[in-house]
Amino acid sequence: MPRRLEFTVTTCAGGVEAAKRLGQRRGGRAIDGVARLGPVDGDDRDRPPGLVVHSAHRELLLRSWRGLFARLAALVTWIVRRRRIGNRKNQMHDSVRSRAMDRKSALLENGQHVPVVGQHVGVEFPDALRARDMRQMLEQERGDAVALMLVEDREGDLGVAGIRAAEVAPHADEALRPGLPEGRGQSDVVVEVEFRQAREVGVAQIAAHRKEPAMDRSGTESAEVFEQARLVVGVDRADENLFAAAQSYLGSVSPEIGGKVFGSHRDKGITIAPNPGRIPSACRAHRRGCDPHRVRATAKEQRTDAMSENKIENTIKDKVAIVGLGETAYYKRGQAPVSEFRLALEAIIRACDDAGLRPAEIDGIASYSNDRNDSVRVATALGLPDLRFSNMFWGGGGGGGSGAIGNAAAAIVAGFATTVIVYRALAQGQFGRFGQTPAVNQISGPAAYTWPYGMSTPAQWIALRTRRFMHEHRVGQDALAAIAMACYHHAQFNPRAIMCGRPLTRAMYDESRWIVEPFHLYDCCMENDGAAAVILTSRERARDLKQRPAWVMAAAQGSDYRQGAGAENLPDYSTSNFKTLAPRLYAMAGIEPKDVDVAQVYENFTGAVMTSIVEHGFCHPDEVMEFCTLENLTWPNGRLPINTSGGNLAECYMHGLELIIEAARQVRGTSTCQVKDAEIALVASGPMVAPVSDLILHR
Amino acid sequence: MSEHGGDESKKTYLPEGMPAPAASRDGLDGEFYAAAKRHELMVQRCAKCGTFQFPAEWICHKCHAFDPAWHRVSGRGRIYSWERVWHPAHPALKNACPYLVVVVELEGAGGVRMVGNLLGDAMQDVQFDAEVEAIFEDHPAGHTLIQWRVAG
Repeated sequence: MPRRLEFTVTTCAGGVEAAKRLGQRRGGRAIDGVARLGPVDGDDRDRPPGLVVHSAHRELLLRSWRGLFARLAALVTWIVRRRRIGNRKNQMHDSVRSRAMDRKSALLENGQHVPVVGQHVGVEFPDALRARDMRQMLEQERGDAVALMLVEDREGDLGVAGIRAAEVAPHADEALRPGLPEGRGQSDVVVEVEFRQAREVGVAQIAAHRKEPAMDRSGTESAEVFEQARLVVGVDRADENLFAAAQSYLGSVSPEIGGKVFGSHRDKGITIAPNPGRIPSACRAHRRGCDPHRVRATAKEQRTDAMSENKIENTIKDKVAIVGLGETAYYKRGQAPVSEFRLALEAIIRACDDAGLRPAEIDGIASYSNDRNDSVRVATALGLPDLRFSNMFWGGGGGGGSGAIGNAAAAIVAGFATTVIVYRALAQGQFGRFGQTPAVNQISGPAAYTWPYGMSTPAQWIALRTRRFMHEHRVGQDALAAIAMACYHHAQFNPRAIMCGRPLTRAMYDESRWIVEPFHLYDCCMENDGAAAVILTSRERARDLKQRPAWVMAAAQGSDYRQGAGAENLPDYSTSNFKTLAPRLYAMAGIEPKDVDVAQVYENFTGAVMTSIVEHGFCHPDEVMEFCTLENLTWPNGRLPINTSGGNLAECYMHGLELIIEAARQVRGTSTCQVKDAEIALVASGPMVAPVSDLILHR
Repeated sequence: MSEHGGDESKKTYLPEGMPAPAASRDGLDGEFYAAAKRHELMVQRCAKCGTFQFPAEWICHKCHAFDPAWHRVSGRGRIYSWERVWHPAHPALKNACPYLVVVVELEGAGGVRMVGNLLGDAMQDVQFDAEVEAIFEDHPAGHTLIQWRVAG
């Protein structure tokens, strides 16, 4: 992804200060930097203009953008020299002479023009623009010729990172050569320089500048034509021949001096023509005696289009939090005393109470697994004033729990909704069991290649894939038993868990009946009736609510290559389907597997938990027997406590939403098996289905 | 020991009453079932790029040519995975457990796999990569299933 740093170019020190102060007014965040064109040293009279860069990323600039600024400076220099500004005489502004680089003399001659550009490029704007400029100059009391356009804010202090004039070569191409290798070394940088249409010519200083000594303000030149330049730095093209790219860019620019339009495709462009005799309008106005100190800040906030956002930050990370948790009691299958839809409503109301929100504040609904409890029915039943987001994660059975959270978060960040409820209500006893083959006489499609052979249920195809994994990596029954016993262990501390009070020993596990080898009864999730719901809202709102927010640090969803192929034809066979998700998830979060303090891993069956642990990077596939032990997987001292409320095996089977609730509790510090100092909680939803999804919450 | 789940009177591995496979109404996989009736095993193989795929689809997943051709395969393969099912997930299987399910990687078919039952003793020791051959199991209702037997 390209990383954009945004700078503006100004021609006076005052502009720099304006940038700093405007940045401060925005809460201490400034732009990435300001490039000020001017002599680098006070004694640099005969040298071409250099580039003084004030940067929030000073080191970055010094190391890696040096060449880029050299390029900018070279470009400007080249334009300046092309116009032979330094040698113009007579009809130019008084301050412009062959030794016009001498800022001291310029200052003396134009004492009142303290903020004014000491040297002018003899360029002329297109007629329409010029006329407008004139009007503006008449209307506005400004002294300086350059308007500073603040394009974007960044944090940091602006400090000076000087670029020596020696780095600015007389010939544009020469400047590039030393710069480019450095640029190339730094993750492949591409620079675009955009020159915008001059919208206004005005002063970019604010009153505070009055305090500055006059000497500090002068000493700039040229670039009056460039009201604003924006450097867009892209960091995504490996090994591109930057030299060639730069050459072609400059090559395209150069013929356009001398009358043609030049500028970015987005801009109308500026017509540049030789104009030796023209007194720049700014100075004309200024000569009328306007008070240079009576200036207004005219920097406007640049409209930031989508391209200018820093794409690395353009994720849901830390912009949304889970703020409310709601659950009904969990019943054994078929024993819920009320209807499934009523269970859904109960869970939603409880989540609102937990958050301190009124249900009417919900404006978005998300769910997964073809939940029967229709969003519009819920919205109608609750009398929601305005439904702005209605989303079902497509496919995947239990693979959608984290995905629904991710979708809800995306909706909030996108501005579709502000407060989204994610729920799942399940009363298998009322509607049919997952673990049964429908009693049909005939079947067609992909199921026709498996059902007639007595292979139809999730237990059966997950057992096939688990068996293959165990064969490939020499894994024995111990790993599966450890996972089951860890879940049951945690359930003993959770009064809500169905298996609370019914601990599981290894002997019980081994003696329990087979469902389908290698799965015993205790390797399989339960079947339950109940409902669960969580509420998400934005960063701004989350802080005002009752509970500690559980921030959504990252989310991912998806499916690996042809994982949906029927008749067990998925090319990568013994996988939970997280191999492509987990890297994306950790990349968004900016963490590594070792940073995860506690993991909730959906157990349709223990075998799928095992492969999920591997695919999220917690252990190597050949180390499963060493890693998946009761000791490692249990609270309080395990290396990776999993399913700390009992999970699908022992707390309840709420299709994984109860795992998300447990992850939020771990982050809040309210779990019944609270991992000490737990900061980062991971949820894996699926697994061994398509698509699957992942979630990371943190404190 | 009979080849069929331990009961010599049974001509089919699993009891009657299991869902019978039927060709899709849209004609996608009619070729497969017609071939099975002839006791031939066929999978899709793209005429353009030669990629095998199964189950059938309208398009080659590799080169996206439509309507991949059908290709006869040898009927031999190796055991890629297996399981012994103990819990009946269908009423017809109430008394049929345990039984064996195998995933077979077909010979000469680019990695294509099929699912079936492994004939013989349900408690036999099943070996990964064991060579197996297809046995066509005709059912009274008119459909033909493809079962597998360890090659002798």
